[in-house]
Amino acid sequence: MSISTLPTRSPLMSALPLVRALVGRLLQALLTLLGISVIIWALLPLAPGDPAQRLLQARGVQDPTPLQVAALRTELALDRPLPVQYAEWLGRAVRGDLSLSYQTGRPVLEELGKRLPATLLLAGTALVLSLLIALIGGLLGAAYHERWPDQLIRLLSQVGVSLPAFLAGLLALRYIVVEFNIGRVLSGGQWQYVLLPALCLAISRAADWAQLLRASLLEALGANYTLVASARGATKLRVLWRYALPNAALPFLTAIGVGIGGLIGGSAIIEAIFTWPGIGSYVFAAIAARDFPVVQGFVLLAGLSYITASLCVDLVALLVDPRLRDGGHA
Amino acid sequence: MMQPVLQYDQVHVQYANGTHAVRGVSFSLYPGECLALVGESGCGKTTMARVALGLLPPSAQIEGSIRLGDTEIVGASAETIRRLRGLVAGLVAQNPFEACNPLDPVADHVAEAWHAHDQTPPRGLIGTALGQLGIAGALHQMRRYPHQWSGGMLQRATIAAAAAHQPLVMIADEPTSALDADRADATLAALRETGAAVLLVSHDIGVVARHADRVAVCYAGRIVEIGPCAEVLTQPRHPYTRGLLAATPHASAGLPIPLAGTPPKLNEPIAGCAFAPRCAFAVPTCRTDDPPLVDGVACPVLNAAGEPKALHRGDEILEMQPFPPFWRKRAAAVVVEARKVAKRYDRGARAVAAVQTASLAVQHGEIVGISGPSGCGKSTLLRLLATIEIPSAGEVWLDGALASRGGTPHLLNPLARTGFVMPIFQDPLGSLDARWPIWQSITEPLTAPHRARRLSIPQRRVIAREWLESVGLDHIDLDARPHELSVGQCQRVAIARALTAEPRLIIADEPTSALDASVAAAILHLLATTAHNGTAMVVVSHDRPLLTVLCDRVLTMDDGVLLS
Repeated sequence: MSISTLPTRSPLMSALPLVRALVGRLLQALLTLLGISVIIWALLPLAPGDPAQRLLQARGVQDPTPLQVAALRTELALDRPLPVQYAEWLGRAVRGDLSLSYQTGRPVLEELGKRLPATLLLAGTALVLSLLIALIGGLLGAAYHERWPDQLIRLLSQVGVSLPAFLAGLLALRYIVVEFNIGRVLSGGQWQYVLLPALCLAISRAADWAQLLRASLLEALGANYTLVASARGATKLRVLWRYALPNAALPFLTAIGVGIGGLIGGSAIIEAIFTWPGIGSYVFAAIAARDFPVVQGFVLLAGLSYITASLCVDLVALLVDPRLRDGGHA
Repeated sequence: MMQPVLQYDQVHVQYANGTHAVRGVSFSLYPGECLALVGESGCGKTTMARVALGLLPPSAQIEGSIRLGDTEIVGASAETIRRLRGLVAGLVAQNPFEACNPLDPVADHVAEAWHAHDQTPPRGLIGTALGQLGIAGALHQMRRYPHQWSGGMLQRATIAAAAAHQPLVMIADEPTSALDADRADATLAALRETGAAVLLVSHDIGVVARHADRVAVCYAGRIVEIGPCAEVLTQPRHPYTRGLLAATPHASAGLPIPLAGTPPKLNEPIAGCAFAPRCAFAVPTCRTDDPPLVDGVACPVLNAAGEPKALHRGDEILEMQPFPPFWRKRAAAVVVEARKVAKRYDRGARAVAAVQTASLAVQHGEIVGISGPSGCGKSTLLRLLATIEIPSAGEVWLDGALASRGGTPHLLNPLARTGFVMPIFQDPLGSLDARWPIWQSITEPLTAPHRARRLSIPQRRVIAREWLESVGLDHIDLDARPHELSVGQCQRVAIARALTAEPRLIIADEPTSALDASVAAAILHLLATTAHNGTAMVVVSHDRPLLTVLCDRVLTMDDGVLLS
C-alpha cells in the first residue's frame, strides 16, 4: 500500500510508551514471583510429617531414634530458623541453584530439567490442539449464529467444559487405547504417543475458549465498525476475518494467558494416567515424600511459566491494540 | 426531469419481532441534493435509510420497490447489493469512533474502500482525499489510530472513506449527534462537498435547516410531510410537523413546548392516521381513514392554504399555552458552594488539570447552566459539586457546611452521602441497571444505609408509582426493564429516581442531548417544575440556547476556568 512510503513518526518515539509498559510489566512479574516463593515457603512447613523422619523411613530405618532424626535435620539445614532457610534458598535460587533433592541428593534443577521436555511436549501439543479447536469452533459458531452448526458446537462445548481431564483420560484409556489399540498405556514420553493425552488435557480448555471466542466474535459482529465495513462492500468472510477476529482476540488472549499457566501445572493428572514421564507425576511423588526443595522448585517453575505466558500475552495485546499502547483501556 | 438516484415506492419493512417499522414510504432522491428524514426516535427513519443498503437483519421482511441507481434492491441477492455498497452508495454512521476499527490506523479505514472490493488504493490518494476535506497534516495524521483523533476530524475521515468511489448516494445516519454543535456544521459541509446525493437522518432540526435542501417528516413509519426545507420548517402544515417544531429549542422562542402523548407502538396495527390520538385538530374520520400523502402533506383536515379547515383553532399549536411563569421561593440559604476549586488528574508522568479554578454558589430552586465545549472540564466540576470527587484545591460547601477540601482525601460532611445531591446523566439507558425493574431502580436511593426505615417491596412499589406519576409516567408498568422503554421514558425514570431521594441539589450532565426535540422539551419542562418546587439544579450542556431558556443564569466554562 502507498502509505508505507510516506513520512511518519520516528519508530523510536512511537516505541517509547511500549517499552515503558513492558518494563513495568516485567517488574510486576518479578514481584509476583517473589510473592509466590514467600507463600510456598510459609505453607510447606505446615504440612504434616517431618521430612527428616520420612526420609529416614524411606532409607529403610524403620523406627528412627531422635538422635538420627536430629542429625539428618542438621544435615538438611532444617534446624535453622525458617526465615534464614528461606533467605539462603532465595540466594541460591537467584543464581540458578534450586538446592538438592532430599531423596536423591541431586540438584533439583537437574531433576526437573530431565523431565521438563516430556511435560513441555505434552502441554505444548495440548495448547496447539486447544487453540485449533477453539478457533474453528468459535469462528463456525459465530459465522452460523443460531443455525445448526452453532447449536451443535454449543452443545459439544457444554459437554467439553464439564468433562474433567481425569475422566477424559480414563475414558480415552478404556475405550480408545484398550478397545482399539490406538496409542499406548505405557508411553515413554515419545512424540508419537502425545496426541491422545494432549487431547484429554486440551478438551475442557478448548471448549471453554471456543465459547469465549464465539461470544467475543458475536460482540464484535454487533459493533458499528462491522456494520460500517459491510456497508462499504466487505464480504461476510472479510468482516469476520479482518474485523471481528482481531477485535475478539483481545479478551481471548487474556484467557489464553491464564490457560497456558494452568497447562504446565495441571498436566500432573494426565501424566499419571498415561504414565507420561513428565514433571507432574514426579512432583506428586515428591509431595508424598515431603521433598521440600523439589516442591519449592516446581512451584517456582510453574509460577515462572505462568508469568511468562501472561507476559507474552500482554505483549501480543500491546502489539494488537493501539489503545493499550497509549496507556488506555481496550 | 432528472432521473432520481434513489427511489422508494410504497416500501414496507417488518422486523421478525412484529415491528412494522416502515409503513408505505415513497420518495425520490435526486442527484446532488440533500433530503433529510426527521422525526422522533422510533419513527422508523433509521430503518428507512438503512434498507437502501440492504443493511437490515436477514429476517426483516421488505416489500415495495427501492431503486438505487439502475438496480432494484428489494429482492436482490446479497451479492448484488454488496457490489453496490461503497461504490454506488456509501454510509456515514453516527459515532465515528465506533465506525472505525479501533485496531487499525485511520489510513487503513479509508483504504478499506478499495480492499473491500479487491482493489488497490491508488498511490497517494488517501492522503489527498483526507486533505481535501480539511484535515490538517493528513499524511501524518492518517497513520494515527482512531482514538488519537478528535471526533469532528474523524467523522470527516469516515466521510472521505465513504466517498472514496464517488458514490451517487451517501446515507448519513445521525452523522452529527455524537459531535459538538460547532463541529456538526463542518461535518455536514464536508458531506455536501462530496457531491453525492445525501439521505440525511437526523433528529436535530437546526442542523437540517442549515444543510438540507428538502426535508421529510416521519411519524410512525410514514412520511407525513415532505417538501423544501425553507417551506416545511418555516410554514409547517401537518399538525405533527408543527408540534415537532414547537418542541425544538430555539434561542428566540422561549422554552420549547412539549408534544403531548407518545408515538404509537409499531408492533400493533394502526387504524387511521397514526398521529390522530395526539392531534389537536383530529376529526372522527382521522381515526378510521388513512390519509395519503397529497401535495407533500398527509393530512386531510388542512385546506389549500395549509390551515386546518375543520376547526377554528387557527395556529393554536404554535401558540399553545406557554409554561407557567416560574416564581420560586428564594430562601437565602445557599445549597452548594464551590470556592476556588481545582481538580488535577495524574496520568502517569503528566498531570491533567481538568478544572483550573471555579467558584460558584447555587441557591434554593435556582437553575444554573454551565456551557462550554467538550473537554472544558464541565463534567468534572459537576462531580466536584456532587462530592463524587474530592478537589485538588479549594473547598466545596453543602448547606453551609464544609463537605470536601483540597488536600483532605475524605469527605468532611456526612450530608454528602445522604442523597443530598442526586445526578441525572446524558445516557438514561446506561444510567439505569438493565436487569432491574424500574420500581427497584427508582426506590434504590431509599435503601441507602443511612435511611432509618426499612421498606417492604409493596411499600417501595407504591412509592415508585407516586414518583412515576410526578414525572408524567402514569400508566407505565412498574416491572418494565429499561430496554422496554423509550429513551425519553428512561430519562423520566432516571429523574424519578433522583427525586425519590428528595435531594436538595440535582446535577444534570447533558440531560437532553440523547433525546429528540419533543421528548427533550418535556424533560426540560419537568426539570423546570422540579426547580420550581425548590430543588436547586446545575445543568451542564454544550447547547447554549437550551441553557438560556431553561436556566436562571448561564455560566461559561473554558479550558478548566469557570467564567461568570
